[in-house]
Amino acid sequence: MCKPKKYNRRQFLGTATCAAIGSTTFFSTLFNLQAMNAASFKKQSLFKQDNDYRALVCVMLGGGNDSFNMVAPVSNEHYTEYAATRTNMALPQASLLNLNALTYNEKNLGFHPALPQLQSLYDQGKIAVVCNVGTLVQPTTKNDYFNSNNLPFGLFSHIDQDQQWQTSVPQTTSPTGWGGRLADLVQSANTNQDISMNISLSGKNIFQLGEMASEYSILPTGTGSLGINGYGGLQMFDQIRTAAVDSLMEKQYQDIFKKTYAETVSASQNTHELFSAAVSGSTLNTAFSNNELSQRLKMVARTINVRQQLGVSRQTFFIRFDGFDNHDELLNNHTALMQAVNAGLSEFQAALAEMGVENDVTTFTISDFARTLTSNGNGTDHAWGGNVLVMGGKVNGQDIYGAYPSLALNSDIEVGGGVIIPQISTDEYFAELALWYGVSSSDLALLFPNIGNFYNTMSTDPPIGFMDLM
Amino acid sequence: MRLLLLFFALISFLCANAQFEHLDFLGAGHDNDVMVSTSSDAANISGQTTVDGFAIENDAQLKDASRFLAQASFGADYATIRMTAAMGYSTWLDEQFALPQLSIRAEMMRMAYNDPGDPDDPMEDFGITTDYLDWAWINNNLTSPDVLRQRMAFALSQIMVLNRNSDFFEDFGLLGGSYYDMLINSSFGNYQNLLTDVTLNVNMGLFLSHYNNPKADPSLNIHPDENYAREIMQLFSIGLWQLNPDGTRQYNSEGEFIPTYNNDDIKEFAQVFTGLSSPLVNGFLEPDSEGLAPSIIAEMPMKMYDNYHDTSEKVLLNSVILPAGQSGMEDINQTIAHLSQHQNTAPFICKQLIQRFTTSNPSPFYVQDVAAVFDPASPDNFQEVLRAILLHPDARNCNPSGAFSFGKLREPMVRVMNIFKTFQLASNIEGGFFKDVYCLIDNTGQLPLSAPSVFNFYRPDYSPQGAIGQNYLVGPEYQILNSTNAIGIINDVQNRVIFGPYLEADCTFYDEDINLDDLQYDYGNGDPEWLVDGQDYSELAPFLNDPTGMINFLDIVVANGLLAADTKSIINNAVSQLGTPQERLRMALYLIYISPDYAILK
Repeated sequence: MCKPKKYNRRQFLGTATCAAIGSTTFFSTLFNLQAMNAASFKKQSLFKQDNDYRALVCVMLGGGNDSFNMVAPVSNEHYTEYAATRTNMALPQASLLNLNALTYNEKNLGFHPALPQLQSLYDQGKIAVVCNVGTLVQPTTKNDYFNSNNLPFGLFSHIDQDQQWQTSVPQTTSPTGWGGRLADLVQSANTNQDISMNISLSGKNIFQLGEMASEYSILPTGTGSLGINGYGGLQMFDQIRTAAVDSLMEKQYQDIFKKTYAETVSASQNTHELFSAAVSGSTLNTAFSNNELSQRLKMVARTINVRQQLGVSRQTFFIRFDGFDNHDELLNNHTALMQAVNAGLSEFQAALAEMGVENDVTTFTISDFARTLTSNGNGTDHAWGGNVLVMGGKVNGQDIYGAYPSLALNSDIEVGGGVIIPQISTDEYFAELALWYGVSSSDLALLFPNIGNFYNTMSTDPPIGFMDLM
Repeated sequence: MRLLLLFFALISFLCANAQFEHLDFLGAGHDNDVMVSTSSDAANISGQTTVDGFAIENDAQLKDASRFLAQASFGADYATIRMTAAMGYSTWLDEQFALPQLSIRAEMMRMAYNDPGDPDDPMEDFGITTDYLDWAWINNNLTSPDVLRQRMAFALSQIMVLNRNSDFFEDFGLLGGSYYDMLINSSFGNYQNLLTDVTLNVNMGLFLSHYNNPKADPSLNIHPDENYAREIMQLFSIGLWQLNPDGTRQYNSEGEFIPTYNNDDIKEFAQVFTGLSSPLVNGFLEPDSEGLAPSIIAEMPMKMYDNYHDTSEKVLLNSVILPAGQSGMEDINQTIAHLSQHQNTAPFICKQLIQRFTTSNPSPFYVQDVAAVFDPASPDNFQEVLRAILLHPDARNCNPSGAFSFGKLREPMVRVMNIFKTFQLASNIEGGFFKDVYCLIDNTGQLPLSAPSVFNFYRPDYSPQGAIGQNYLVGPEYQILNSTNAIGIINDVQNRVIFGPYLEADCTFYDEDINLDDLQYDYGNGDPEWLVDGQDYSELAPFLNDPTGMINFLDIVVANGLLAADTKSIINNAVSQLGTPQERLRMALYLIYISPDYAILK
């Protein structure tokens, strides 16, 4: 069962005005109230000092992580059930890395054998596992599923589930993601308004798109950002070109397609100048592996390192790490992916420690869906609820949250082929992260329209309990 | 919004009515040429009477022909524009449909071995990496006159998406080449044959894992792989939602969209796609570098092994039943016919094709008109579909810049190829290899067969933030116009038009040491030659000392007549400050290629 963490509601909510503003903005258009919300946001007790900083790092394991192999049962009885269902997709029992939990005692679980560094961070209390999380409109039973009662649309479809994990609005095609709505709410708390608080290492993504907010895309190399070559250069050719580029991009276009293109180019160049000036001097001693995920996380760390120069007190980062859609060659491919996750996340946490911001940054994984428990011969197919990792100094780590489900076929929450109905909604998972980030519980419904179906925002208990909200 | 679309469609129709001499291209059998000539332009026709034997055209005709070729190809030079304006678009289409095709795979072999290779030699594919696919793709696009087929193949490669960058494919570039050849081969054929070829293609089987997909084994909890069953419906044929013939979504009585299938349907379709494996080896085997000669099997369709095929009854959509006991290929062929003839397929596929050629937001009329000629099993039906797309009044609007919702952000590969094709490349250096093109996926977000997943580089319904989204319109290509690609493509343009088309050190942002500011620009030294670093600009010789004339000429050839007057004056102002013809040319090309007026093909 869930391990409840008590916390002091008054401490968390801050002033009464804050709650009042929250209630009046319920279901309102976010961006109209952006300034007011930011004002209330700043008054909350969580903002203890002006240089207070928090970042959420979202790692999307793209394609559908086989998370019942990322975290698998170790104890004999439960391993037997796992092995019977997964047949040739089961990992050997002895290879699993045991996870000793502080309070969770239903089952002994273990990490995938390629996650030794994460096991170590788990043992240090810096990683928690949340079990059987997924897209839900409301708590859903097997009967609901077979009667198509308020289900997320496009279940099992990559594009839809990938997006819904980022929007947390699974009943529709939401134009915004929860990181974007978060930025709409708090971006104005940052001193510097010229750089988006949402930074992507993987280009455009719905997670970071709000009504006002959008991502700033950077690269894992150089100073991260890219500028127009020769722009601002001293040679006459460059001076002429700079003036002409400015004229072309700053012209007022009536045509909406030209306008969008010109604004994108202008904003990219302007942000680049600020961003690269700050990041160019940012170096870390922590060594990062030379793989895609590690290199992207390194740039996130370098960016966090210059948070004061950038003038930001709140940031989100988005990384997409693809390759998890293993309908074929699952065991081999998943091992390689887990190795990369093991290296990337542990190196990143070491860099945060080096910078002294372990308590200020929380990293969390999402994925389209887990994969079918049953095999298709050499791989697994698209499923639903799955397990996720949360990492950071303020994580109530070395513990398991939610209920690791029965992996038996035909259980109360299994709907065929080893597809498990999630018992924790993405709303609850993200709401807990948002509360840690400083969002007042009365504002949660602005970020998560369905949260009331799962969690009473007036409750003194946290949604799940994996974050230290004191 | 629907009213607004109706309004614009009406405007564009009236406009076409007033401007076009012939209206019979609206329906089937439209054989007459479409000639664009407004009365005022007609009065300005110059004294010249023939070009290459064709009647001479005026500026408006040239601009429209240039715009037509920008929609229908990867760009055209001045001679092609003039010829096309004179012959008329319908004749141009007829010519295109009759042209022979080139093989990418053969070009890859030629580049690797300087001979066409022996397709029966299983060892020849080793060492031919996917880089050769890019080089061959560009060389074929530059040399082959079947420019419409090339553009269609690229469009199809963004619907029937294969990513050639998996570990397996990287070692065997010819796999990608043969997949692309299959698309080229299908480009003027019909949809049902294409879907069959795609389904049975070894590369697709490896990519979406229906290669070596056995029937269920209940004793081991093994079920058929569902990957291909899902994507063939969601992406390759019918899509997720029930559509009207005009491509708009249907609603149920409660005002909700209606799904085309559910997960139970997926399980039924998954049973259909069981039993396919290697065409060479007798049985279910994984292909590998030693045993199966991937490049050879890639040329042949997968073979059905009926003892691995699920022979139980399958319930398809709309209660269509495949009876128990059929052979594997009977099941597959009937399923492909079933999907091809589904009411969604015509609007679903046609709308995406329109998006790839002419406009991100086709009016419902436009989709319906094109879908009406879509006939999945009719021979050469894609020719009629292409004719309908390119000659539709919405596409041939005489005032494109004024059309509110019409047009699209040019795709990155189109922008790059435009540079190569609008002015003739001098003879290729180093055997014609474009060694730098692999950087394009990082610089611009696009490269053939390099989409990050089966969902292509961008989704057809992607709606960017800002003015486009606020008007409930979409702009798929904006999904890859992020803050790095928006700048990356500008720097790519710089490298090609200022430093020359072949510049090798192109992955600039991956190498901090390369600072282009430190490179000496080779502005030329007053040499009147217009040959600049491998690209021949001699057509601009008449404008040696006439910046205005040069910009007007480039407007027609490069920008398809879409430069606004104030854009021209910005460019003219910059160009006029420069001393040599080369500098003026490079600045003008650079500014046009990055300008919003060019970047958006109206």
